[in-house]
Amino acid sequence: MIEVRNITKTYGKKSNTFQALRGISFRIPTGASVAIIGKSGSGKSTLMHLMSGLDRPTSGEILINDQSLSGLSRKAMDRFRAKDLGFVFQSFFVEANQTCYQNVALPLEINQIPRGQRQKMAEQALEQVELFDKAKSKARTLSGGQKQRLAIARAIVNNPKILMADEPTGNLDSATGEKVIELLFGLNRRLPCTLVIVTHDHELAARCQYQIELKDGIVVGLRKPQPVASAKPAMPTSNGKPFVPRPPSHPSGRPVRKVI
Amino acid sequence: MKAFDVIRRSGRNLKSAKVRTLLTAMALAVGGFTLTLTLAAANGARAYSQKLISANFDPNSVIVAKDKAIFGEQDNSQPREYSSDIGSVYGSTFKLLDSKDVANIKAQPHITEVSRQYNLTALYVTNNTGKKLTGSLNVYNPAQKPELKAGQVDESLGGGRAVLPDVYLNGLGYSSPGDALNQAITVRVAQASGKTKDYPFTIEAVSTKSKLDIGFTPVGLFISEKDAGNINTFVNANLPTADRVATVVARGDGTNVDQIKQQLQSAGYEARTSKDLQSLVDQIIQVLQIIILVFGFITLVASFFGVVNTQYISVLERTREIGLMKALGMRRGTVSWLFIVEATWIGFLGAVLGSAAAVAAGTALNPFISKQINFGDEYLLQFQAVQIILLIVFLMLVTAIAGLLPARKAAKLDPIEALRTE
Repeated sequence: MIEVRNITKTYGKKSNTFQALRGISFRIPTGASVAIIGKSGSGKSTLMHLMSGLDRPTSGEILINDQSLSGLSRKAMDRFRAKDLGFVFQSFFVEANQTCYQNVALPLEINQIPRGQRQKMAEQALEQVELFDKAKSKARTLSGGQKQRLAIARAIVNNPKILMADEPTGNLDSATGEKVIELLFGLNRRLPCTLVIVTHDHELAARCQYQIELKDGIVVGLRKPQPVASAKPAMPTSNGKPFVPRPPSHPSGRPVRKVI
Repeated sequence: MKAFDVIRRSGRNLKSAKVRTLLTAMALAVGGFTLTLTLAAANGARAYSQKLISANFDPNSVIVAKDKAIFGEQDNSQPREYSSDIGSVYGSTFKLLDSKDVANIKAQPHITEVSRQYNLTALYVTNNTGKKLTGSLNVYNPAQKPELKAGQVDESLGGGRAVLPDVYLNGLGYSSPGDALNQAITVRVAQASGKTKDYPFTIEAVSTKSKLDIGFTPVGLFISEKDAGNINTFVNANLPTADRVATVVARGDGTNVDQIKQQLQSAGYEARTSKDLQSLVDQIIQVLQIIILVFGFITLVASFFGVVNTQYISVLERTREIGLMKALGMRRGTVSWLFIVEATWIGFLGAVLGSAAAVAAGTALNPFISKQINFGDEYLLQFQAVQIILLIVFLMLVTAIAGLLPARKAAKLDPIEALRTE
């Protein structure tokens, strides 16, 4: 459960201040899919930074499973991001000079996963995004859609409880973007993990269970899920074969840990 | 992140900037090259001086004098107060040892033999060819044997026997060293008044200048101490300094020479062992070494800033990557370590390149250098693995320190700023 309680965020000092967020509150249950929508400058990126602990709110509180982020030390915050969060960015941010495997292994190294387990987890993550055969290729040889899938593999390799995607399709053509979106929603159901998508695309937002629309730092629209969630049949995949969902167990075989 | 992963990742980062890494490492390699060669040259020089001293001076003997200045340990440029025991040797004024002193030294325990080091010059040396050659007369000292080319000398030289250096062979008309053996030569010496006297000698052996000869003794014949004493008495007849010498060599019976030295010092003499002479030479080597080391360190300072600069650029270039790593929960300390270790890698690379180049160049040039500076079979550049390893570790440490500041910058980077895409 993600709970945001009346948070504000002010940048700058004294006369030169800018209030990016002016009192925002909402609740998202564990495993939901959420869209944070708004135009550029509406505060949606700031909100994502606060929810992921990259930044701290000026006032208010964010609770992840009843644990307040503001109560966390820097070390605990780093640990929270390393263990419980996965990030996907608009510009992918994959390391072009490293192989796909090395890119995916980074969060595992940060988390000090033993080497033996690391390989299995990285390979499973690559398999999830259908890049297993590219494991040894340099990331620079990948197409845009493949790069974003690689970024997604890196985001889920740690089996995160929350997957944050900042304009995940912004740099992709609509066909490739659609595939990435399908992948994100598939993971949201399969892992399962709470999916938070920051976007200005209303069409994409409409596919999420929750929609939080921001304008000038306040919530101007909040939509909660309708009783019936659309259950898609089989997900189309790049190789044309139907996608077979995996059981929602941890890729390493360990039991799924509760959020925090 | 585990240490092994940090080392591997930072090494991989360097691989993606090969040219820059190599160029920075090259700057360090220059310092490493200089330092490796300096250390090797000092090793060689020290080993050489050790060989020289042991070849020229018996470790069981001590050199005894009355005056510190003889060993070059006292400023002799100022005029000194006259005392009756002062005399002139080799153009300088020193307090000299007289017969009483020599007898006194001989009377000390553990000393088996004392030989005077006379300072004699012949008017000329000649033989039946009538050719006259100049030369000095040196006391044949069993503790300081010259290298022989022909003939043989037992424990000491007999009266009327001489050892002729091979440089006289041509001038005196001998076709080979063996040809000169048992031939008669005549040595003419003169008093200050101009009165001369001839001394006949038979050639017992022919010596050659050893490559390890420091050149303490001037070119000339070796004769027995007794003959030298007789000649000295004639040359310096009527002079108050007739029986005086600057130094004597006292031979010990095998007991610790330092003990003999102590004994002589407390008896009021100045004594030096072969070890003392060694340390004197070593001091000179050390001063030279320090001078070159300073230059090596200056190049290191330059490459230190090179590493700082390279690492700063590396941090700037990888701003986004650093932001991502921090967003993924990498600790500040780990980010910092990544860059420090990266700098250390550069240091390792530069040090290995530099010292490897130094070893390769030194090994290839050693025979040539030895020939040029007359080092005999010795090599000037003697590389020691331990020294090189310590040098590499030292250079790694230097670059690690150079990496501190850029690493701090990386660690303090704000991930939100770093990840902004516009």
